[in-house]
Amino acid sequence: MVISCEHVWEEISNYLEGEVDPELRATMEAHFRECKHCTAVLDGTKNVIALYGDERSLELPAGFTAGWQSRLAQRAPGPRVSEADATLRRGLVGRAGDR
Amino acid sequence: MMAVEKPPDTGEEREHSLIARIRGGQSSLFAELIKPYERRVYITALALLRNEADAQEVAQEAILKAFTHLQQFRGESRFSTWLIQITVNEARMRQRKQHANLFEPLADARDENAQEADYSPRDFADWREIPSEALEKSEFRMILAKALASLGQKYREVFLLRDVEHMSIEETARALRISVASVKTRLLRARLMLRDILAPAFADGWFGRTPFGKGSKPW
Repeated sequence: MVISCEHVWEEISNYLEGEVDPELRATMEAHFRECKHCTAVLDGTKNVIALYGDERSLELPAGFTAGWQSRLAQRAPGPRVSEADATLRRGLVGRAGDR
Repeated sequence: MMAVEKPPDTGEEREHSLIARIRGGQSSLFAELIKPYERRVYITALALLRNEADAQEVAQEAILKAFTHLQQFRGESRFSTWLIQITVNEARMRQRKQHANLFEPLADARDENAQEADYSPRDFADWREIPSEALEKSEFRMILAKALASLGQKYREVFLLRDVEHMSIEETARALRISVASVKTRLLRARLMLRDILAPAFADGWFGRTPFGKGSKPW
């Protein structure tokens, strides 16, 4: 079975998801062995997924956890949100019941 | 006297036990329940709202809503699914308020045509190396963020949920209320567009290049 570059590009995402049938997979792999352009697209797409999939690529903003915990502390009087934010809560005790 | 609790042997059981205890009044455990999902909540909000400050505010609001409405969580879906749905709802509300999506309909009926998937790579630069260590550098992360920001909203949100947050295709479809087929189509396009943007810049090896100058990149 012969496959065009355009068809390979259409399926490249499904290929990386492991969602193409064995016959198409084999055909695509044969195509990659012959076609530099499609191999470049495959490698580059893999790199995109690997880079963005790395936790370091997009981190939680600094202060995110403390932010919602202090908002919760202000809204919901009661037990501490966590032991870790005990220091934070100490500063909010006076306002803990306020809405 | 409370029933004897058997030690939770799966993450899900542990989570259900945490939820039951929080509902029972131990609200201090909420932080523990949320911890594994904080990043996911934030990235979901960021996927739908381009502005980081808005995303942060909406994500925090979603977490607070989850706390307030925890009694309503029935356990029919996973807690993470429920939490993400709250986040999506909050973000959609924010979008409507800002009219940010005025020209980008939420429904995807028109996206189903083949034209959507019909994207050809513009560049065939041979980008074989993954400069993973470069992720330690904020300059590099900025390049990735800018490339992502240059995508259209519908591509960006699918890519963020699937490839950044590692949701499954089905979870992504449910969260965004679009079809699985649309997720796949948009994901393909998002990946190819990002490759097109990044490959020429990285093909020669990021560290081997002269420093990035404004105007020298496609964004």
